[in-house]
Amino acid sequence: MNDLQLNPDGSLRHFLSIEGLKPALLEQIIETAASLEQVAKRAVKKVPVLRGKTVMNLFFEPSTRTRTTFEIAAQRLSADVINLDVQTSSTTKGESLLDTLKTLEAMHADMFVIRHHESGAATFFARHAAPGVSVLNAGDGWHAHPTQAMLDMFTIWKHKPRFDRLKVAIVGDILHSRVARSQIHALNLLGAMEVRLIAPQTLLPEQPESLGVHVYHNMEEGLRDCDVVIMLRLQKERMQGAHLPGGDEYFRCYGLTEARLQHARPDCIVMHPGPMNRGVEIASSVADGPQSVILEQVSNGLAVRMAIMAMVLGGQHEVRP
Amino acid sequence: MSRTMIEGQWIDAQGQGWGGVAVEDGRITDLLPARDGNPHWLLPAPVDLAWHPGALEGQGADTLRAELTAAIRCGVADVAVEPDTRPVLDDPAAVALLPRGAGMARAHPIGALSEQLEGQALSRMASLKEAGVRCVGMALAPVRDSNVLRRALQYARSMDLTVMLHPQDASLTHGGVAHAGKVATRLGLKGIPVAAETAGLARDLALVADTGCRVHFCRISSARAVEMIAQAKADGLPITADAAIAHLFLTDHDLMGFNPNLHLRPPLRDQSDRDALRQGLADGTLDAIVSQHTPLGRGAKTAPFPMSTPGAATLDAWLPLCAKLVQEGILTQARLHALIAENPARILGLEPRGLKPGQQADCLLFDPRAEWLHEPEHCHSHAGNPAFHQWPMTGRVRQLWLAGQAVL
Repeated sequence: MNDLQLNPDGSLRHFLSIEGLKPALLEQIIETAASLEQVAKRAVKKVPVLRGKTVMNLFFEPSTRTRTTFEIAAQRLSADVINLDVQTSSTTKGESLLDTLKTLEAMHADMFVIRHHESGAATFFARHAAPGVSVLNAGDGWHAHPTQAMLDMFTIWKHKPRFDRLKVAIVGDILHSRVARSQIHALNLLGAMEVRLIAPQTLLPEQPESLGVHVYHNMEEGLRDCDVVIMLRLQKERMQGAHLPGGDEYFRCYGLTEARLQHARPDCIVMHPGPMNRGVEIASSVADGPQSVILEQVSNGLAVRMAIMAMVLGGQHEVRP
Repeated sequence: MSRTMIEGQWIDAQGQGWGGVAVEDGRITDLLPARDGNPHWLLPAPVDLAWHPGALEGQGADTLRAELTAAIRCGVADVAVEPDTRPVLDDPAAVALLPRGAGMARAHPIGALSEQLEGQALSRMASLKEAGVRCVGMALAPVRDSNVLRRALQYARSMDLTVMLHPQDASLTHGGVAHAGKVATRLGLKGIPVAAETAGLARDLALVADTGCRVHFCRISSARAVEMIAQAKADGLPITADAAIAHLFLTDHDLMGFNPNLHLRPPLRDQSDRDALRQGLADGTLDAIVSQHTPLGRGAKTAPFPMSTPGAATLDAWLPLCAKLVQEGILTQARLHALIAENPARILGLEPRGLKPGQQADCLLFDPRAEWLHEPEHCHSHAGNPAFHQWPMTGRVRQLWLAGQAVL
C-alpha cells in the first residue's frame, strides 16, 4: 500500500491510509495545517497553491458534510472543484466503477477525492489511476479515513502538543469504524503513550491488540486518567445485527456522561467525528460542555484537508501561505 | 507390443530408489533400478481434484477447452470439475457439455448433490451416475438444512457415490471476505472466523457417523479443522480431505495491499494454519493437494477487494509448488505421489494410479531444477487472475504419458 501512495522521494503521491506513513510526514501535515489555518483569517481566504488544478469529489456514499469541507478546502487552494455523487447499487460491477474513473480522467482531473462503501476502494482506484492523477481517500468501507484521523490529530495537537504524554481512549463501534482504524495508526505513529479501545467485544474487530492498543470492556476503567476521549457514532442498525441489545443498554454501559468523564483527567478533551447521536453514545451536557472540542474538529478539518491536498498535488515547497 | 522404458528417478515409501519403469501394452511391467546422473523425477500422472471452470457453453466452452489443453502442457492429465459450472452439473445434459478430446486433460464431473446447488431438493444422483459421475458435491455452496444433508448423504450412500463437502456454517461465513484475524482487522474486511469451518465440519462429521456415507472434505483451511479430521479418521469414519495449493503457500498477510486475486474461498488463514495444513499433508491426515484452479474473466477482479469474485488461477503453479514441498523437506516423493495422483484417483473412482507393476503407465517426467518466473508469457493458462503472479518457480514438466503413450 505504501509503495502505492508514496513517490520515490517519500512524498505523497496519493493519500490512502495512515498505516505505514512515517511520523515525520504526519508531523508535516500538522505543521502545514497550522500555517494554512491563517488563510481563513484573512479578508481574501484563498492561496494559489492549486491554481489550474482540477479536483473531483467522487462520492459513492452520501456525505454532505465531509464532501463540503473537501470542496471548500480545494477552493481555498484555488483549484477548480467538481462534485459527483455517484449512485451505485451493491450490484454495480467494479468495471463500471473503473469506467467512471477513466471518463473523469479524460476530463483532465488532477485529483480524485473518493469515498466508497467498500474497504480497499481507494487503493483500487489509485492502482488504476493514470500517471499524474492522485487519489485522496475520503473513507473506504471499514478500512480507513485518513483525513479525518489527521484533523483529529491536529485538534489534539493544538490542545496537547506532547503526544508522548497522552493516554487516548476511543469508545464505541470500533469494528465498523474506518475513523478508529486510522486514528489508532496515527496516534501510534505520533508516539502516544497509550491508546485504549473501550467497547463490548461485539463492536471490536478480531485481535484488536494487534493494532497496538489496550482493550477495555468497562467504560469507567478505560477512561481512568485519560487525556483525550474520542467517542464514535453508533449506527442504530447495530442493534438489529445482534451486535447489541436494544433499548438504552448501550448508553447505560458506554454512553459518555458527565459523571463518567470524571474518571478521566480533569483537563481531558472530548472528541467526536460526527454526526453525533445525542443520548445514544454521548450526553448533550458533555457534547456541549467545556471539555468538548467537537466543533473545533469541524473547523480544523478545513486546514488539514487543505494541507493534505497541497502536499499531494502542490509539492511540498509550495505549501506556504 | 514392444517393451519401452521410461526413465526418471523416485524414492518409494520404503525408501528404495528407482530409475524408471518398463512398459508393455500400456502397463507398467517392471521397475528399473536407480542409476546416477538422471536428475529428472518420474511421478504418476497427476489428478487434480478441484477445478472451477465457470461457463460450459458459448465462449466458456472455448475457454475450458483452452484450459484443459493448457493442463496437459502443465502435466495434469485428469481434473475433477466442481459442479458450480454454468449450467450447474445437476443433470446428465449438463455433464455432457464437458469437452473431451485428444490433447486435453480429461474432465471428470463432480455432480451436484442438490438441484441447482441450492441445498434443498436432491439431485437425480442415479442419472448422474449413469452419465459417469462418481462423486457428488456442493462446490463452495452450503447445505444450510442439516436434515437435507442427512438425507442427501443417505441417498448418495445408497447410490455408492462419494460426497464432497466444503465444511462451513453459512451463517458464520455470510458476507465475509477474509480470515477473521489481524489482517482483516487492519484492512477493515469482514471476517470469516475459523469457527465457520469447524462448526460446519463438526455437523458434517456427525452426519457421516450417522449415515456411514463416504465423504471427502474439500479445501480444509484451518489448523483446528486438521485436528478434527485426524480425530475423525482415528475414530474410523470413512472420510478423506484435501487442501488447496494457495493455502499452502500464502497467508492472510498476503492480502495487505488488497490484491483481489487472493480473495479466495475459503479465505487464506494465518501462518499457523498454513503450517498445520502442510503437516497434515505430510502425516496422512490430509489426502490430496488440489489446485482449486478458478480461471476468471478480467472483469471479475477489476473491483475493490470485497466486490471482486473469489477464486484464483493456479494451474501453472500447482505442480511446481507441490514439488517445492518435497524440495523444502515437507513431503517425501512417495507422499507427493499419494497426494497428487494415487489418492485423488482413488477418491474420484478412477483406475488405480501409481508407479507399480501392473498399473497403467500414466507417468509424468518432471525437471525439478528448471527455473522460471510466473508471468503470462511463461504460463500455459490464459486466465487473468493468477494467485502466484511474478513468483519465481522451480520445476517444469518435460513429458507426460497416458497408458504408455506420450501425450506431451
